[in-house]
Amino acid sequence: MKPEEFDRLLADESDIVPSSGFVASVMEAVTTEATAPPLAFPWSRAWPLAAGFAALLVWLVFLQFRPVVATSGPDLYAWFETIVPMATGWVAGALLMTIALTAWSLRLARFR
Amino acid sequence: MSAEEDAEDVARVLAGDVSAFEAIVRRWQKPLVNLAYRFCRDRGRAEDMAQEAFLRAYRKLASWRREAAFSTWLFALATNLYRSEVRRVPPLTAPLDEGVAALDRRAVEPVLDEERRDRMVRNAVLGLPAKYRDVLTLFYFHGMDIAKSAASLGVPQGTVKARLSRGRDILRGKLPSLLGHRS
Repeated sequence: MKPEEFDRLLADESDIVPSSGFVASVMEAVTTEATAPPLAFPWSRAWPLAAGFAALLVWLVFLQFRPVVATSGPDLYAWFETIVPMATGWVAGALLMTIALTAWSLRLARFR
Repeated sequence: MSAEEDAEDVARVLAGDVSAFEAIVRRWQKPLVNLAYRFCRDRGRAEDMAQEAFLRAYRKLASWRREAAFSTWLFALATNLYRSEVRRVPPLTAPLDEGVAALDRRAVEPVLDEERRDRMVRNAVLGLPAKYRDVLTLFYFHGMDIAKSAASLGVPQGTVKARLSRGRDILRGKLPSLLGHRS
């Protein structure tokens, strides 16, 4: 088969005609999309997590500023004293990231 | 099809007039449904795919930068969607080798009419590996225009030329008796 024959065979395919209801069907979908309310943020699921993070942060801050108390046994306070500044940074970072991701998700949901 | 009309309708839709999108759908429904049909060879599915393409175009209308023609942007978006769709649910065609066996059996009988043979060759295109199938589909859909095919696929023109040549070679290799019968 010559190249031009092969071209003709594949290029000369007759077009199909969209069904009469196609435009109406597309516009119905578009209108539904346009009038649909933005997705609501699932606060009912999010708030326990947010509360948990807040409690953890409060606890870590409390530990950081707790007065030194003489205790017997292993010096847990000294350990916390080392770990808390580091952990506070991580928790603060995680909270910031959560806020940023939440804001981004809300923005995406609004534009859908 | 006027580029100015497209630009005006897009501006109206972006300003909040959803009904202006209907003019865009009316203008482009036939090309988009036909392009989808060439990817899936199923009328009903082609309309579903085209509807999804229009819906996606509506959602992303603000991302059309006007540097390229609206049609270029729309075809690139639709092509991307159609390729994903046929990758997700491949069209119901026999694998190329099985199709070839059936075609070769029929080729010895002179009863295979031209129209049927042409249809079989077109279906054989769908059996090609995706990168060749997509290029062949778009090249012939766009009236054998390499630049438009490359824009729709988002690849360089040289890639389109190379894949086109390789795709044709594969088809010729797989359908020797059928294609030879015509020369």
